[in-house]
Amino acid sequence: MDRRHFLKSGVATAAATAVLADLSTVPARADEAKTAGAAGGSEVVAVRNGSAAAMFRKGIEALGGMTAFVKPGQKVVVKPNIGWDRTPEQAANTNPELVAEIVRQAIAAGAAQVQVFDHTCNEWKSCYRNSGIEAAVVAAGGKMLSAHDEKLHYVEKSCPQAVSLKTAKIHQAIIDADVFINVPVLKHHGGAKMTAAMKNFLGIFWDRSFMHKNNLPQCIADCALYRRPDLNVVDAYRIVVANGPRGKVAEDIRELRYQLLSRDIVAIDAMATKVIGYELADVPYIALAATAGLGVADFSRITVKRLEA
Amino acid sequence: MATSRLRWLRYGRVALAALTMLMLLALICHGVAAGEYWLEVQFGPAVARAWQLFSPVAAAVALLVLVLTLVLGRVYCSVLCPLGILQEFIGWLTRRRGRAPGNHPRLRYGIAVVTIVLLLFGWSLGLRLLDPASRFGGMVATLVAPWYTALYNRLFPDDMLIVRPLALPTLFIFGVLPLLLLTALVLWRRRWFCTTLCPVGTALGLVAKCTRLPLRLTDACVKCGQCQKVCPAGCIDIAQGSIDNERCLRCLKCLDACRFEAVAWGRRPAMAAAVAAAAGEKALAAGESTAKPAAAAAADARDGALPQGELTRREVLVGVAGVGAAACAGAALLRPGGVLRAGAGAGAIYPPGAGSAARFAALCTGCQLCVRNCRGNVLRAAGDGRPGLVHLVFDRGMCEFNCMRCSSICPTGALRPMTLPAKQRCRIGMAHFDPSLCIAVQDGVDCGACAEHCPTGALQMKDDGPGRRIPSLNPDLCIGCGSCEYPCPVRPVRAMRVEPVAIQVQADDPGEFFRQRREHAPLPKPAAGGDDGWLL
Repeated sequence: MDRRHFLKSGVATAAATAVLADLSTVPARADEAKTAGAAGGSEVVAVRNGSAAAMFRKGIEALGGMTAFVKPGQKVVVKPNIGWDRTPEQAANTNPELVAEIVRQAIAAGAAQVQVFDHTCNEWKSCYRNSGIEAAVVAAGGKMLSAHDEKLHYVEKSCPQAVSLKTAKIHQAIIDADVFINVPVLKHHGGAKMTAAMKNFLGIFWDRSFMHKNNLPQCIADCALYRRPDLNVVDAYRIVVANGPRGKVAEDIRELRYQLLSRDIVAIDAMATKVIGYELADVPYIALAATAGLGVADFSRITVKRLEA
Repeated sequence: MATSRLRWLRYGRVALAALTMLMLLALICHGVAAGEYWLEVQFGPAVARAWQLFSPVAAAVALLVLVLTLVLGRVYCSVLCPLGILQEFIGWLTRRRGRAPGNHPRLRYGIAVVTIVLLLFGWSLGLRLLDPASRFGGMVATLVAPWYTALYNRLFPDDMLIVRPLALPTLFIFGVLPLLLLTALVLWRRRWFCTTLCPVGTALGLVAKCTRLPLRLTDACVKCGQCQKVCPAGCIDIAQGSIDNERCLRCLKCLDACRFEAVAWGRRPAMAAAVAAAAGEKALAAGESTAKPAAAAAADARDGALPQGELTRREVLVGVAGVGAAACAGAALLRPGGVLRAGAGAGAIYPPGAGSAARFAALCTGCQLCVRNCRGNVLRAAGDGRPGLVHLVFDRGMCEFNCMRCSSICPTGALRPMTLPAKQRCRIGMAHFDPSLCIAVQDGVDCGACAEHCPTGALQMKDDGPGRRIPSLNPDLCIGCGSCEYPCPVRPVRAMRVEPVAIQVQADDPGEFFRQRREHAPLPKPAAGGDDGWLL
């Protein structure tokens, strides 16, 4: 092989690699600026003292209504926490009334379809059924998707900006969605200290085992790089304050009747630490995500709109 | 008469058999709840359950089957027994090749006596080998259910059934080998299994002998032999003009085959019976035996003129005593947990309700219903190298905390049914924590997968120096459900492993444990702050 051939083939290989890498890479989204706190601050809406559905109605109105997020004909994915085979009263999963209200409003705003799923920890059908979410979503006109088959539901993506989670298998529905609404429940968490908006992302990925092995807080912070949520709603109607994320006994649960809404996934988690009563430093992934430019963790740059439902 | 009106009875039999088959297939392949009624009436498991659990429901079901048999004969074998129906189907597929089975009372009664004696001693060996319901369950679970699951999941990807692993030896032990043996028997001697090997059939046959509605040949019989030709049980003796109702499986093929309506189901009409009885007496007096009512046959037996293959009373008594005594001795010595096998059965994790490794090893018949119904996908049948007919492996899931499907569906009583709170404290194994493998201990990684999944609070993450949190196991609360082993990310050997326990006991009550502890360490309360008592 002469030098010319060598150079030519080298250039060609590099170009091909770049193209291929680009194809499987998560595209940088045009709407990143609006979530990343580019304007210097973020807004969090806090609502309290109402039913989960009533609090959402109040909160979304303050953010400009569902029509500000969902345009007619769009595909919407709502991702609650349905990780456990627990009842709504046990508060290990997102409040089903809240999920149903979001589905209803998304459909009213003209969504072509509203899909709901979680990659559950317990057996998925039991989780979907006993959480009350399946029945509530179907009654509201949404569709439950299964998320437990690696080959059928997940596609491999890579994310060069990520520090630890460089490649991951992510649920197809998230990739295909026009609008992604992240609806976690706020809980104590034995491993990650607190689970709210960012930790909820583990349920859109296939391999949680990898994240537990490779610096879990960093992986949680990396998760949101794969797909920014358009809206985050943190359900704090009932919260698990001990023995989380599952909760073991009735005494682990507090009825707070709070709800947080924000476009900024970092700001909403930062505010959630105050609701559950932790220090920001207790939950390391929030600072890591702020460093990655995913949002604002600095309380002085977060405006909170407080509403009574 | 060209065709018999009675053939409709046979069509009815085929329809009922098809319904049984459908319901049991739906139960085993898809978990359809309605199929459980057909499971409940399976006679072998019902008797075992009645005895092991002193279950009045199971006893009533068994009694009901006996009464049904007493009235109608062994209809159980043709419309309720899935293995009987399967043999009919195989016979139909292969165009009924094979000769009629002979009458082997010694073998038949011997097998039944051994099976019953072992069962009384708490050892289901006879049922494990020969119970038709259990063996059918094994065949369907390994040969049909995987295909059904694959097809269903292809058609309905949003409502997928659990894909269960199937080791090759399991497929062979429970599926291929029994099916091949059964097919060979059918091709060789039709329903030889049902009339000779099956302990359930033999037991029912003894009752069917006294049936109120026997199948019999009437005077219209021209001895054409058509009925004998189609009979898969070999119970028609055309020369004697008799049908042996002990072995008759009520397939009703003879009703269909007889062009002269000479096969009747039921006793003779009263007048005809009286006439026949009188004729019988005359015939007896004349030393003839052309038409043979039951009483006359019995009289014959007393005289020593036994039909071919029948036993004398002495033979029966000596046989039952001898075989029974041998079985008693065998059970006492060889049963798992018996004198010679005191430690048998330990070495694997058994489903909640098994009681102890030895008890479960003695009682499980390997019908695989628990395996097929396991929501956590942790139950495995023998064949993957671990001991026990059924055991738990936590490589694809955990024993789901809110599920007790295995113990509620177990048809033989090998798994004791439990209330949910009792199941949630039933210790089937004990978690074993290996700090030398744990990445939280060794690398200071913030993992916590085990504590996150633990349903009882036996595992908690404890502070271990600044920024380090490591798992801490409280054995008193551990139930061995595998919720720690399954998510543990360490490979190839996990840091959290569940070890078998010989005897299942109740673990401590987590509710009580945490309430007591909280008196000393109150829960963190959300800090009050902000304007108007807002938390943020």
